[in-house]
Amino acid sequence: MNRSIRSLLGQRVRHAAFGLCILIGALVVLETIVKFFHISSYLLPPPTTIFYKLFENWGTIAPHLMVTTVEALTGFLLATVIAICLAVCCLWFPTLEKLILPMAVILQTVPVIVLAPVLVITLGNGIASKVVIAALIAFFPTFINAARGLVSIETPHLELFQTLNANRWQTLLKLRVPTALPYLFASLRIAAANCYIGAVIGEWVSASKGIGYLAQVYLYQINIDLLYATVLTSSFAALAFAYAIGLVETLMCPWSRESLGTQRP
Amino acid sequence: MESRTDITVSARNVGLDYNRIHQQAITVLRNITFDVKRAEFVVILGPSGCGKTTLLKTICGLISVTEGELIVDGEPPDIAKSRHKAVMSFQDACLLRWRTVLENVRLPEELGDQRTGNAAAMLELVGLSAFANAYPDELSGGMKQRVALARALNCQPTILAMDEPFGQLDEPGRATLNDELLRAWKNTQVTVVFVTHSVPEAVYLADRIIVLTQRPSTIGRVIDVPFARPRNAFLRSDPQFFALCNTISAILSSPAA
Repeated sequence: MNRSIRSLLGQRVRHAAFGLCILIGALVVLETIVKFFHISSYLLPPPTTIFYKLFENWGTIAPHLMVTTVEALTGFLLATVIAICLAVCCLWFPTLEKLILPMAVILQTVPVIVLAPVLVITLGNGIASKVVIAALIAFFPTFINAARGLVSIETPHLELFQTLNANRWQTLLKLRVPTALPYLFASLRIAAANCYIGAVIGEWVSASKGIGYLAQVYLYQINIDLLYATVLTSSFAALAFAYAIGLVETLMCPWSRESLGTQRP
Repeated sequence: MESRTDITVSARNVGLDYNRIHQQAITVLRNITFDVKRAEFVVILGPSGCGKTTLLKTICGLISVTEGELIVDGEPPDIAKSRHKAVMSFQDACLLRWRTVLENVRLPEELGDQRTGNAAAMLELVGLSAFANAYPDELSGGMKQRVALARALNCQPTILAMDEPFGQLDEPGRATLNDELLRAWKNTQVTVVFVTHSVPEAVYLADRIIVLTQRPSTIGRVIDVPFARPRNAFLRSDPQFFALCNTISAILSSPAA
């Protein structure tokens, strides 16, 4: 068991390393294009300049990245807990699902950029409004997949639990939740990226710190190199978070098709 | 296990109507009467869709009968179910992918009224001790069914209700598992009610074969299988074995069945 998990983890690390190589290759191409066609640096700064500026100003950017990360992760956690609890409620009270699902869809169709100012006005300029926006945007995929995963068990499995006289909680914890985990993790990775977007949008609307705020400051200063550098840090943070979720998935459900699906024909 | 009576399953005029669909009740079982003796091996045969599985499910307390009386080990099926007296095993082995083989066999100990069990011994009984820590995805179809058998036996049931458990295996695998099952049955003295499509499998395994008719099912014939036990592969090439198989196949294919 340990050996198989280790090999799965190794696989994930190798995939990530491969992705990193592709990224570096793309940056080299971009650098060449920018240099070769003499594209002016306020349209598209060369990657080397962006990274140089990033290292030079890391001390300024880091605290803002920290703020955004706290907002994003808190929102993520909030969304995940609420989504899972609601999914379980929907499972046990099907009427509730008929109520919640349309509301969730409507909420999802309203552009966050419209909701964000409203939330900032109601919840204030501080961290709360950003957490709620991040949670809103992370909630939908998690809720849908959790609800779907909990009912994706096969009838014979359910009958097996019935003949073994399992109660509702035992069926939930020993059958439904393990079945739902791969579904859940697929959506958690989407939510991991989404929650950073939510936090940054909130900061963009109104804030005194955070990546969204800092990006806006640099935009007004027409400091395009630093604008790129700042936005990139939050992208990388989101990417790292999504990657970490993938690692947790490998540890928690090594049986998942996603993890096992590497031996393709 | 105290033996109150020599009869483990007693069905008296059992009938079952499924819920009305489009104002029409569908009668699945009608007027079914039979007894299964303790430690007997009974096979239920019948045309597909005739309600064999439904009959098994009523014994296991998954579906309630709508007519007649069904007694499982001296109690109504739902009470028997709550004491893990009747356990069902399925066509699909139904193993939980996230549990190791041993953890799968241990599952009954964790559900219902917390009971004791002996998962390791059951695994030994089906000859899979070496795979205790393997995951179901690493096993062959036959091995999965053996794990399912060990899991069912770990409930220490009075009745083992098996719904075409070996239907998805190839012929040699099925023959091996038939022998495994007979060995486990002899060792545990469990009563087996076994559903299958295969006439040779039925004849090889059974003490008695109950042939059901087309829906609404009633009991068409009850056939005693005279062959001595322990049975082995030689029986499969015995002329008497063939003769009985042919007789039963003829009963099954006759329109009156």
